[in-house]
Amino acid sequence: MKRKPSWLRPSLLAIAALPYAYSFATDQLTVGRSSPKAVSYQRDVAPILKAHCFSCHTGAASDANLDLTAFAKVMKGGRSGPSVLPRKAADSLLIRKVKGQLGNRMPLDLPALSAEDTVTLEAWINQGAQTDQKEATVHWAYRKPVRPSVPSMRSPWVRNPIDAFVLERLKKEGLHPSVPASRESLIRRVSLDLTGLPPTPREVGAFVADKNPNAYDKLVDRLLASPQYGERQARGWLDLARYADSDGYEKDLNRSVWKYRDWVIDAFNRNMPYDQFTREQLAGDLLPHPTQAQKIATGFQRNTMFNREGGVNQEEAHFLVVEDRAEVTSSVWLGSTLNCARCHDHKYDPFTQRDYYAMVAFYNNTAIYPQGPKSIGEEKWFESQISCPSDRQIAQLATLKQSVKVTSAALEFRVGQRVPSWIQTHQNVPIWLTATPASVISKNGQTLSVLPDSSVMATGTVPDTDVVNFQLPRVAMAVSGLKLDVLPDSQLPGNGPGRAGNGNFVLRQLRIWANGILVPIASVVADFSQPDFPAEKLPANHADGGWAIQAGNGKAHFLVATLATTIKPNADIRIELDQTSKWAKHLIGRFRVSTTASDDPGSEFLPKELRVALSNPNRSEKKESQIKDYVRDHDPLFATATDDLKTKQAALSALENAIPTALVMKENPNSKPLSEWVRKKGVYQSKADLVTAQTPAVLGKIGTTKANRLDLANWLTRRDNPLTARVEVNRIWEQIFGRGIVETCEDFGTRCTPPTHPELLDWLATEFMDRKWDIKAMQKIIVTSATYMQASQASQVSMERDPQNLYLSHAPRFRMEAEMVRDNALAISGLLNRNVGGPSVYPFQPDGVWDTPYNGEMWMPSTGNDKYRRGIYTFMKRSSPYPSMVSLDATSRETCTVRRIRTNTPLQALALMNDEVMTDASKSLAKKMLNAGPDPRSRIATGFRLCLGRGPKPAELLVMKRLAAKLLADYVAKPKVSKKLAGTPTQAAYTMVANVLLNLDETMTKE
Amino acid sequence: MNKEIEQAILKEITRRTFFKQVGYGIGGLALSSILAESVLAQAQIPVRKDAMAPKAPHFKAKAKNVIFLFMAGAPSQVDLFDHKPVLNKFDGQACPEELLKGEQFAFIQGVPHLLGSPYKFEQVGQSGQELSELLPHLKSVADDIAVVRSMNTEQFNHAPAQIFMNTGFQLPGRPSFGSWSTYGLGTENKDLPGFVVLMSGESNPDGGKSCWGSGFLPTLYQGVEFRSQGEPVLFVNNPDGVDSEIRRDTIGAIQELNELKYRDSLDPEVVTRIAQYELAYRMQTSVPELMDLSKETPATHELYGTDPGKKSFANNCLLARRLVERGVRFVQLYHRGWDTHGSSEDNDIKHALKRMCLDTDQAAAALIKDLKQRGLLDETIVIWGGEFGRTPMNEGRGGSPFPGRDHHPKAFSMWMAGGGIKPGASVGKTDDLGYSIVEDAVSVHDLHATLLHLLGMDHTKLTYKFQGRNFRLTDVSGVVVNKLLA
Repeated sequence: MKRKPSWLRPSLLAIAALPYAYSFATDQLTVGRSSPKAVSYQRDVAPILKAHCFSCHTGAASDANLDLTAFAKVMKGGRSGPSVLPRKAADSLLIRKVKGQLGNRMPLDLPALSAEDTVTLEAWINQGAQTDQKEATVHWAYRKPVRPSVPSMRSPWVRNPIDAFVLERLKKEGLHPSVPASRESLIRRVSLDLTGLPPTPREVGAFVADKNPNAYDKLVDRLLASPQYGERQARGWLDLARYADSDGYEKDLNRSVWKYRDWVIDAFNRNMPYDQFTREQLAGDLLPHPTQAQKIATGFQRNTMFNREGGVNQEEAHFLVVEDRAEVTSSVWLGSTLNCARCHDHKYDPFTQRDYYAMVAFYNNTAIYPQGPKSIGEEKWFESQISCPSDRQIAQLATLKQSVKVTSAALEFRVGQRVPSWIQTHQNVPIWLTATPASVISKNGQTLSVLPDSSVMATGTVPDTDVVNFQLPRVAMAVSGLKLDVLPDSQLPGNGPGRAGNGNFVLRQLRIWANGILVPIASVVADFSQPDFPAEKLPANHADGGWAIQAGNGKAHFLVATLATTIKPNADIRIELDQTSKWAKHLIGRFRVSTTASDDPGSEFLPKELRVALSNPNRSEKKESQIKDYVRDHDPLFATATDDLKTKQAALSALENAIPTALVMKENPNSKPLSEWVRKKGVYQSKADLVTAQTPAVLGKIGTTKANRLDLANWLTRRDNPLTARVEVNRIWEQIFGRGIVETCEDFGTRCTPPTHPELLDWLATEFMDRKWDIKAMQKIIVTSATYMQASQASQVSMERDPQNLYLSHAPRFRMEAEMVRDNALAISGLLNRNVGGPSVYPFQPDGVWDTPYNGEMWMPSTGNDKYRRGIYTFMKRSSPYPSMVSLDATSRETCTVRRIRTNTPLQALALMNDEVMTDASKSLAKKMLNAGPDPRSRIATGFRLCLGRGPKPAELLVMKRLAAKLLADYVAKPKVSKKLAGTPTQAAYTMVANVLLNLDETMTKE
Repeated sequence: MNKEIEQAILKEITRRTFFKQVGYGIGGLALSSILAESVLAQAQIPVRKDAMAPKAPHFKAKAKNVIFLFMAGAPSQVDLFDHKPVLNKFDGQACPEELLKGEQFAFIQGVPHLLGSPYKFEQVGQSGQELSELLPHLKSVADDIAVVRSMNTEQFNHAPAQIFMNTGFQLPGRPSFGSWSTYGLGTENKDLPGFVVLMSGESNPDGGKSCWGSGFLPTLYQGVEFRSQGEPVLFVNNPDGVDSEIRRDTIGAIQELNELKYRDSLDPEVVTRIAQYELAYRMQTSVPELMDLSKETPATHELYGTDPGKKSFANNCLLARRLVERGVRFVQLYHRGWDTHGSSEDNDIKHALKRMCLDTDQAAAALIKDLKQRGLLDETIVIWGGEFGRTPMNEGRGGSPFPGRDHHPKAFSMWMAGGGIKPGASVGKTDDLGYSIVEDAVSVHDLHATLLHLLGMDHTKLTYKFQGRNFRLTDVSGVVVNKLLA
């Protein structure tokens, strides 16, 4: 195991808490700084030139032909000759101009350089106006970070090396650090920073009371281990990943990719090292034997938008997707604006257009599945999707699959047993004997006549109902079943076979009498039944049922009734056709009766093919299995067992449908190096040279000619990559301090805002790599620094000298990000649902916000406490992001956002006062306040402790007491109004007191 | 609490009772100025400037405000503005092959047939502007408008083309024209947002909120949707059980506590927040007042053809006038439904196009007349148009019998008026079929450059640095169209 840096060893940490006994490990202290300091062109001179001269002296169009943007150009000078004479500052044009000793003082019409800057320029020239060769050509951020020595700052204020760097800079600026923050303020700050949630009053109390020197350390460890930590950290990463729950563009259909969001939360909670975090997201699918989680991780690059609009050229659409992936890789890991090199070589940074397309090439090989007809412009190129069962679902799946398997096998076994006897009874086709009636009588006066084909035709009166009795002639043949044909006839309405206007009829019951005794019917089958009027149900005699044939009118149909007992030959048989349904005049118009003695009259219905198979004793195996299938599906013996099997199969498929899916990266098999065309001016149709996948030369080539995404991920996290570690620690810093050491987190190129603490940045970057990319460790170093632990109040001096607090003479205070504002209010009021992960939710949103032109998707508000999940779980629709969060600067996640801009607008005030979720939170907070007892003072104090982690100051208490009294009087006077808000006047008044507390600047500010 | 201490504190905060006496009800004084006099003067910290405060343009502007009537779905130029007798002559004949070579259409397959316009055109006014019989009201202001018949775009699908027309880039994520305008010029009215969006027609435009988004500019500059149903501005209404007196009291308390916070922290952001809560309170009054059309005269209602309480284009046109009257910088109306493919009666050029013109013609013309009679037209640019044009060929998707036209990015028409636009001007020509531009092509970037020019801004200098690059509305092109300038 690698030894922890000595300054963080537990023993030293313990000492660290003692104000005067802290010291660094000697190995870091012995390297002091040589003084007087040598002036560096890159570090000291270039920033001055940039700040004051670049606006006129940049590039080919520079005034006076003097370009001051690069060392060589500065030395070359402009129209008036060299601007610098080494070691002769007083004679150098540059100095004479800025001092106003020659012609117009520079910078023209702008404030003069400070004395200090002028001295720096002079010192540099007098030291020889040198720059080391590398420095001159390579921008600092493209050189690998070298661990700087920690300044020797023998101050009791210093708790760890961060403080040494910060203090050194403060001294240089003539500033001093602030007093330490109060413990109430510190626990609120660190809880918000690490978990995004405020501490409870109990947690505050416990921390304030804990006098153990390790108390703060323990607190930090507890917060880093909390499940809410991952949610807080994931929020920012999801902005980078442009994570959303919909496709974007015009159609903006919903997509299922929340498993990726949960993966990010989980990775932070498990403190996955940043190099692995990088590898799994960029190339999890290319790792050996990737796990499901590693595949889900590749959703990072599947979060690109996907255009499903009609008529889109899919090749072009896919090209945009691939470009986006390369650009996002560059923004997120390299802090570089590679996108600027899409149409031409980068104007400021050393990236060529070829570099751009060589990076795009890494992504140019994903498997694509075209779907939809191309001919009408509806073809879409889909990429891979996987199903992601949870462990529980995997177990359930196994159980259900097993159960289906067993049930099915048992059934098959029984069916196999049954088949031989079934064949026996079914191999002969029933022979039907047409019966000419001995008599046929209508109860209600229809005229019934027998036609030459032995069928019976009804004419004359059409009564509403009827019962027709059909007497069979006595024959010397047994009767095991009978067939009733209903026949069309041109005389019947609609061609029959019924007498109702549309040719339909309802046969309500069929009764068969043998020698005066009712013969039970085993089963009835028909060739056709109207839905809801199935012949099969006839034996059950449903009052409203019967057999009818609507939609089959005008054609012949028949049913076969199998008797439960065979009637012996020569019996007296009467058939009763009961047509007493509630549908008037639905009578049979023409019919015929036949009988059979067959073993299974129902086999009349065997499909022709099956019947052929049955008649051939030497049938093939295939035919044999067809017979088996038929027996299983139709023999009533197996009805229960097949129903059981179907139920189990339905449960299985329901479970399979419930398993979430995820969008993942999947590579096409390839043997050639990945490649991409350079597109002239970035226009996708204008192909120029083909380039192979490669990293930009200035950052170090990848070292293999057949590189893939995995190689790219490994290259990004190589020790000598100059950017990845710096960019990430800068982001970690920004999340905590509200401003990166490099303010432009998204751009570390030559046009970036110069780092306020360049050496601290490099120290953090090297520390990060030394600690094997351990994110929690870096956050712990930062939040246990004295710099972090200062009070946030600015002094008059710091407001004057450093109004932006660039040098951190006090802790920053800034408004929480959108999601945190919501989470904070819910946590304060006790409404927050702390469940981690799962599908996105739909908290309250005003009507009419979600307008989807192309489908009927609706915002169906979540119910129960899903309404109160953390903001990170709110369904993220790109074309219609959640309005209250948008007003607080949340983005639409259409593109990668490295840095959210913080605004302060009236729409925010309206949302925070009036959004329904804020009203809910106010009500809930009011309850907690009222629970504190009858004294307004303790009620208000409770509210303050919940919202701010501290009690009210006397002036604050007074304002709030006055407000509570005024509101109470108002609501007492307006009981109806009070009821609309929250019940009693007291509840209503305190709901609004709570609303005030939730709207305080301090409540929504991390300080 | 001890009486004496309480007295001392009361004395300390009496000064703050000005919130009750001055800040509200009387409503004359902006809170930030009061603060500047008291606390801030004492602390000697400059108040952070309101980012939306009016700013001077690059040079003297012809126009102050913009009303953009966006006809989402793309109106058919050959049936409305671009009269093509030759096309009528060849109606029903196969499209000449040279027009199809290398062309890509959204939906047309094979060789389509030419489709003449069933509508009559007439030259009207002093200017002799040629307009379709579908636009009788617009004819009455023909001498006030300039028609560009040579617009062209790079996109032929709705969403990217709408986003392109509004942001100068086809993908979502860039600031919209309105956002650039308020970023560059701020806005005059302190009680209303500087960029307001109003919606009517079938549904919201395909391009969605990206059309009025602020992209990488601070969200402060994004268009704020004023809705015709529900709350006019999201969250502007107090919850049930909170009347304006109670809201005033609660904001008063928020402000007092925030002021205490400011004295403690010296953080200027707190001052900004105090000012924004003040503005929010004023918006709660000013927005309903704005949206209430009942005070307009019957003559005005008649002029526009308004239907109060409904979601209608006419109502929105009247609201647009009320907004610019109150000093709102940029107003954008979206009216969707112009996508006349001819796959059914609901979207053909015989029925649907007529219906769309009935819904919009009167109110659009009324807006010009009304602005003119109030002396506002000189300082307000009104623009009318969609994201692209429509083909001179019949689409005939799936053999449809209804006449309709596919998307056509190569040539289409827009009109504009007021604010330094040359009245009665005609710019650009297309060929005999209306397929290609033959004279004075105007790109979307050119249009943007021209409109920014009228607003007093050089489109190459209105920039914002993002991800290492200076971005502008016109990207890397755009030329001011001089023929459009008065």
